Amino acid sequence: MPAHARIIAQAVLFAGVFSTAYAGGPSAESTDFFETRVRPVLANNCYSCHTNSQLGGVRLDSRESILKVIVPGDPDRSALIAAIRQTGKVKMPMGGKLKDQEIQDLAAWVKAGALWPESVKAAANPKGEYVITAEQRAFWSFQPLQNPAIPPPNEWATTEIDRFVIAKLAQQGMKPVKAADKRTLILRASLDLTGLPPRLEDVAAFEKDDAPDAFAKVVDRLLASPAYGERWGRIWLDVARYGEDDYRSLDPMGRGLNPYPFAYLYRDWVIKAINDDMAYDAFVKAQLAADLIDENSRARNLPALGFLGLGPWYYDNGAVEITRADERHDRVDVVSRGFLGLTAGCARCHDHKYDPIPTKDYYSLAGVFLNTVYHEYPQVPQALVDEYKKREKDIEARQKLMGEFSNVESEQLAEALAFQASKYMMAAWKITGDNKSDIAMVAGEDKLDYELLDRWVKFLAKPPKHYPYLTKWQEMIQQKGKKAEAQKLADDFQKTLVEVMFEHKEIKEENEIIAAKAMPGTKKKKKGNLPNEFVTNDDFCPGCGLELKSLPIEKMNLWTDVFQRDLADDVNPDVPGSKVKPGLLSFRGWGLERQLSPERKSYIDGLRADIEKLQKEQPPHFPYAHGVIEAEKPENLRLSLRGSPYNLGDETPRHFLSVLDPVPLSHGSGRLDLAEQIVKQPIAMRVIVNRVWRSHMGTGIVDTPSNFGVTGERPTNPELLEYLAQRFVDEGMSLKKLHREIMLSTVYQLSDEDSKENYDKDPANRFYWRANRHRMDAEQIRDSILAVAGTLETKMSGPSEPLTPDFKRRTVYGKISRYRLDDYLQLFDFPSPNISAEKRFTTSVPLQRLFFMNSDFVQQQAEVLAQSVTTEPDNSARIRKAYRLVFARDAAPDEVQLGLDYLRSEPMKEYEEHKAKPVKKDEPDADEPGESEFMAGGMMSGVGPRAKGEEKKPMLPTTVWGRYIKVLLSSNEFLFVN
Amino acid sequence: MRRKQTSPLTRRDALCRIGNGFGMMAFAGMIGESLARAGTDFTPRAKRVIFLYMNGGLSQVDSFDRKLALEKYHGQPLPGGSVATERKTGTLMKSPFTWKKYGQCGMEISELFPHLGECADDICWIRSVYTDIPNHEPAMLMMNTGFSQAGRPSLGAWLTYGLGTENNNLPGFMVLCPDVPTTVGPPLWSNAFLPAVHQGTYISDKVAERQVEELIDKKFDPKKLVSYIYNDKFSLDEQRRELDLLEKLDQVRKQREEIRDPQLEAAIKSMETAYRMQTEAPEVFDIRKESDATLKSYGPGSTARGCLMAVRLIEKGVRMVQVYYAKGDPWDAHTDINAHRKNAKDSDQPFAAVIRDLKSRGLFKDTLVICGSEFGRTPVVEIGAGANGIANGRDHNPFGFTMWLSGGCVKGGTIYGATDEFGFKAVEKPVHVHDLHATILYLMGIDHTKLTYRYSGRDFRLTDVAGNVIHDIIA
Repeated sequence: MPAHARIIAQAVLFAGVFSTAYAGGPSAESTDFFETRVRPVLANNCYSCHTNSQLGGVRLDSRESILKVIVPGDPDRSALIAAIRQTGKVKMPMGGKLKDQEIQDLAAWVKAGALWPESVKAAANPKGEYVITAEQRAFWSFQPLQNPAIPPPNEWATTEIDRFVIAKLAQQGMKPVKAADKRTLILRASLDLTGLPPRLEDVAAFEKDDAPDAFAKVVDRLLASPAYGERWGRIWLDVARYGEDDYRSLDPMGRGLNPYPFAYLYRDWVIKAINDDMAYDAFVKAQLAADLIDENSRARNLPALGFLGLGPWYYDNGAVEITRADERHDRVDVVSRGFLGLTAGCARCHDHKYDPIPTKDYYSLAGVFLNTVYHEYPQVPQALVDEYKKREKDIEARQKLMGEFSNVESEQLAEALAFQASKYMMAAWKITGDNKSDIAMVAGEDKLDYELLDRWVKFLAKPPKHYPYLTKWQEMIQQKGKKAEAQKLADDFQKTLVEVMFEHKEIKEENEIIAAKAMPGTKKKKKGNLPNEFVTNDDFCPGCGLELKSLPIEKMNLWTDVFQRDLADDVNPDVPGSKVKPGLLSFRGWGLERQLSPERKSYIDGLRADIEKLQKEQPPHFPYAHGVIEAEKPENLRLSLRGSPYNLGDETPRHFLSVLDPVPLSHGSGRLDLAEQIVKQPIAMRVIVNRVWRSHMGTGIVDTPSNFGVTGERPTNPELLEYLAQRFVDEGMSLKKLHREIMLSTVYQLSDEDSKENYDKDPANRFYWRANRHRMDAEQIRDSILAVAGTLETKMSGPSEPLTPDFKRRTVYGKISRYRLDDYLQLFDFPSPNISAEKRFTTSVPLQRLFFMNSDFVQQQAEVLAQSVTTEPDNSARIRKAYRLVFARDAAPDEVQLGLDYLRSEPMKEYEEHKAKPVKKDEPDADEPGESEFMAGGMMSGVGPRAKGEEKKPMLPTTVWGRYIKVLLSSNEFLFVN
Repeated sequence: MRRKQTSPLTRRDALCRIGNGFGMMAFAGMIGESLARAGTDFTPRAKRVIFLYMNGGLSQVDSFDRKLALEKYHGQPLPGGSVATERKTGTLMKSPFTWKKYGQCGMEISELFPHLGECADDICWIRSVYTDIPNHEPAMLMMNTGFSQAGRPSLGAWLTYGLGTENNNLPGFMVLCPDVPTTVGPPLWSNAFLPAVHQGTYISDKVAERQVEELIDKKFDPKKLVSYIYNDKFSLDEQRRELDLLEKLDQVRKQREEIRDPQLEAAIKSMETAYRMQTEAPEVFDIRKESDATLKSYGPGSTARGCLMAVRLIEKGVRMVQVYYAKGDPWDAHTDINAHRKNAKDSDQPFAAVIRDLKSRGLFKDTLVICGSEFGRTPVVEIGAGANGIANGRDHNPFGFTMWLSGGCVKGGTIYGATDEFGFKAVEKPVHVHDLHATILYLMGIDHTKLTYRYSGRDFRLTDVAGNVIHDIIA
């Protein structure tokens, strides 16, 4: 049976899964009964623990194994039935109970003899091939979208969503709490859709608007605001593990790539796509295969490929095969969990332990990414690219010339000076020997170079650790040797030095030949620097693996000490940044140039001026999108046995997941085929609507939003999920329509009021009897503070910047580093950008409070707010204004009183001074930021330090009013969304 | 199996009752335990860990694993040909250092570590550690996170996740390193997918210029070590009044709106803790409070100050402190093994002082001290194009190297495992990094196969799918 047909057939078979309208139906001893009433119940409730993993030694996926826990014909003596009735010690399923109807069905099935159709047994096939069983296929999330009957109208319910919710609540014996007040509602809706609090006037307008569509107008306005894309784009970026660098690229040792400089193009594309309400299928396809889609949208959507192009690309050196496999693993993981809610990544080393995803499925998906290669797409016309590259080449050519010239000159100078060794040593003898002459005098008398003579004096005095050639000289000096003796030793040393110099030259030439032979091709091998470019260790470090010739160690040490670098004891040249001193006769830079003849000097000066001019003229690097491209010759991946890329099994042709629809992914890499399959899948629709629902309601209908498999949650309200997914498809996969439908429901507009009866039944509010109060996320907190202070800059898009106190744009435009996540973001539970994140945590730790107490960011914004408050005539009025600005409400009398008491307790001197002389922004630093925020790599540089070289902006002085407002900004009322 | 519980509820119980949603946070706040797993699997032998890290790669054959064969066969090729490491290597090279036997155990230690020698009877040397990849980055990640690529939780993060913290006023896992971080840097102390609270708190403990012989730099200010712990614009009195106002305002609102919400309670509670942290944290870092005798016992330099701070932090209940020697890969002696002299001079005395100081503070028994590098060095000389001038150095060696453990019920004065006669490969009782991790967790009372965290549909653990506890080294 072709895959499609099979799925449809099952659809018919299992159409009853979500239907509540089962009155009569098949008899308990029929196959139909088993397939519609027994198997789905087992599959959906028991198989996460009772198939291969056999928890408690119980296995429920064949008649043979299930017979251990049932007595056919006698449900009352069957352990399974006792467990699901929960009458005995064992209560199943864990943490819940089957519906009464399901329990009755299973009991009836046992009573009728526990028929287990033979067809199922055939599943265990003789060849040992992986076979997906009917139980596995029956799993809820693999089913076609159901079109559940909409529950009857109800006076509480205003929308169809509400009817599903109230039906479920009624079933659980719960009643929803009252509706939220208008102010709470508009606060909630604004933060929800735009991540920003509403403006004061918007709150007032909404409170006054009694029209029935008042809230709908608010929602529409918010959806049309560009801030909507900034909020919901970021929600997607969590899933897309958006990061702007990789550990491999930011290695402190300076290896590999720089950060992805134009990563923001992908972020901007996402924000724009969300704001434009791009249909979800197009959104998915662009991110996986924008380069393969029609010409019209191609150029516009290329930045979407950042989903794949921005890595993570891992550290290459060491085990390249493993690294490449790890990268493919990331792609399989983000695609399968992000779009499909399936943990296909689990099938890398063995068949998936719970879901029907065999290892070959994993490698067939990984094969798509084997044939997907990192590629940079310039975002300017080709002519500009060519122009830029030409200039770059010009600069490089000149730099090379200059480097070669100074190398040759430096070498020649050193060689020439080697022949003067004896002369300089004799001069040194005059200084350090018995005579103790003055160095400047000797240099003048003997017409020697002062600096070089100084070097010789120090060189000759060094303890002879690395070679024996100066031992005799030093003994002679100690014994106050005479001139003739000194002359002889000096001549000897010069002879040795010159010999070593020639030997080294010879060996160097030989080594060059060895290297040339070992590196085929006409050009010298360059270090690779793009992801995917390293295949072998030699690509990483060309020539590092060569066995080159070397002088005997003592001669080599002498050569190094004289011609290369000072062999000082306390310097480790292996540590970057060590202060390596030049060898005795090695002169570079100015030291070299002052020795050059005038013509040569003017040549090098000219070259330098040329380079500087060209560099100045070179415009900043043109932007390019970090994307991917098809490999030249697509090939299939071989299966890695037990996950090891060194232990290869059969070739795995690229195809889509077997349990969904194993069609071949055969065009090129198969990326476009993959994208097209994904957007056809019912599970993909469930996953996205659940993500949207979760972001509005606090918990998902399935609260494992990237895992709709056996180990994930079952939907708390399956009918509602089906309804939402079906509506989403019917409405052209428009996210904005989905938001609107959710937000206009009564359930969205509930208050966060408590109810003891409900709480006892459903403490986690999984059936949505009230609104969930939650702390704002990292972006909401920072953006809200800027918004209420009136300092938020609304400029959209463009390069990311560090989240310094001076950075006033929305947090979504801050730098996202995988290498070192911004400390502020980290502190407020921003997810790791290394892995696709299904949801954020909310932690409550003291360090978060320290941020409010001590950060200059919060204090500064509070001071700005204070300035707009202090214009009011008296303290009570000021407090009331502060409340309106911060909380968008009027202060209660007791709150005003508390404020007044506080202000009275504070010394007001600084405030009075402040009032007399308001600090202008262009005044020099009124107050330096606390140094605590400037620690090198300090733990919380996030909103603390400025970027290097950035101009310091003046800070407002700390005032009592500023501190009062800071208290309001730190309050739970401000930080929690009701 | 004894289960130590910090709360009448186990974490699982609580989550079952509250569900997976916001309850989790509220619960975490209520018991002040962060998002930690509750309880241990075995009786813990140690409560805290100090990890002294010689980043770059200490040469085992020049420190704790003397090989007479190297002296005998110096300059000759390794029988059977050399083993491939990162760079090209040549003939066998003897150690330039002299050796001496120490303690009742008679452990032979090179002249690099005379002070540690004096503590020989308190130390257990594992001479047969091995890792997978001979490059710094993957090997450092393996040693610190149990995986060769960035993106997994670090040992310290797992420990605080598994055990929580004993001092709510301080982070549970701290990392000290002078100047900019080591190679790799933050991924080495990352929480990865564990809740953010388990991330290592990095402290740049640059309290003295390395060259300066003074014990403490005059400019040293403990308040400047943790950002946001202190801002000189605000006095504690002022902040106390701010907090009082905040709590009163919250109270007023709670009564008016009849809110009962553990999340909000937790937020208020953490505010009080934060306030206390402001005084407690700088106090711990203030090594000026130590006696001259103590300061002198550690000697001068940044490593010494880091070591002393580590002991003070441990004393205050911090779960794990890691001290890196310095930025980059300073022990990476490719060119000249003599570079170890300076590194050892900076480290030997403070490492020994850690052991002695822990003893004098009564912390030795339940503090586990670990010391080592991401890999060792080759017994053969490095001659590849990487060799920088003189050829007197050693390449990276992942096949066999030495690490030592002390305190925490580890058998002192013992040697476990052995390398081959030249010190290249672990041949006797080889200990993979996963085994080391499993043993560390075991000593802390945790079964490494049970300390798991479900992420992306999979149960992750520090030891991946490997790891065997080395029971022989446990007293």
